[in-house]
Amino acid sequence: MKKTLLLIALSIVIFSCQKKNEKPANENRKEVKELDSTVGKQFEMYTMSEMAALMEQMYVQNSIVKEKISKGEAIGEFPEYYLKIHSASFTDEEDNDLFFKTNAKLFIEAQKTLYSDSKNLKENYNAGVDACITCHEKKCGGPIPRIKKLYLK
Amino acid sequence: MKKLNIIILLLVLAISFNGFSQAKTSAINTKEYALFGDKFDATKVLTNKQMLKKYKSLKKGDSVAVKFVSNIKEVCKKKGCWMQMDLTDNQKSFVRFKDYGFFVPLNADNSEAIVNGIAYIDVVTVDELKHYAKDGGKSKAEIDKIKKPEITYAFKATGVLIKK
Repeated sequence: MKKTLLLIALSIVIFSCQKKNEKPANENRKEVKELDSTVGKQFEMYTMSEMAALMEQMYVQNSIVKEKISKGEAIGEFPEYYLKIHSASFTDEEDNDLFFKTNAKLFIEAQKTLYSDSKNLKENYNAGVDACITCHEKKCGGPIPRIKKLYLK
Repeated sequence: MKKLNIIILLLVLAISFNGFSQAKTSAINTKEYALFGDKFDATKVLTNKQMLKKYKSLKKGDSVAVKFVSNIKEVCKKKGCWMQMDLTDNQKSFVRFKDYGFFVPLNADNSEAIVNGIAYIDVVTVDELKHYAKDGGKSKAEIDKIKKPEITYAFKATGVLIKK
């Protein structure tokens, strides 16, 4: 009797472990197929537009400026390539509307003020970040959490 | 002695059934998936149904670190900078990627994906909703219908595995 019970108990444990491993993770998921690296979906990735690449460059430049201000170092000259904001091609040209054009001008003004007024660096720098966010709130909110990290506290 | 055997048997049964009720994943062959963002272990992955239950238990302001698996219902068609994951029951999770640090393929719709990150309840503004609708290829008429902010089941992913 004891042996029979032990056998039953062991069978249940083994059975339950096997079942657990077979259980699919997704309600809609079919069983895991054998790996076949030759067959698979060809993923199509986004290629950065000129404007997206420029914004990445400006993000890096602002990170450098933030560090320099924190250390009390000179921030250098206004980067002329910022002016490409008026001509760079968009991911979606429809976004190059009056709202963007107006805000691009305001952004450039804020940046020029930052590089020309060494007395109010922190305030001017943060005003430049504000200009980025104001436009992104309307145009594309995705990068906002990242842009907010640029603020000097 | 007989009683002791019965108790052992009952205990074993209880442990076994507990194993069945935990539908968290089993071995997922990550070689079948392409990684986007930070690498993570595909263990303790919730099903979409379990994830929906978890979302329902959250209040605004709450967040929880979690992994779940489901099918991608929709992807941003411009950049791949967001996607919507099926949560069953006509519900979906709106997934964005930490710090805008990586994107997913533009043609990842209907692929199975495992996401790792933070789940939370979010309020999406009208401007954002319109922007996402535009990115998702919705018509102008559909975009114009958006008038109110929306409470969403949001997810900030640090890593995504998408089935190849």
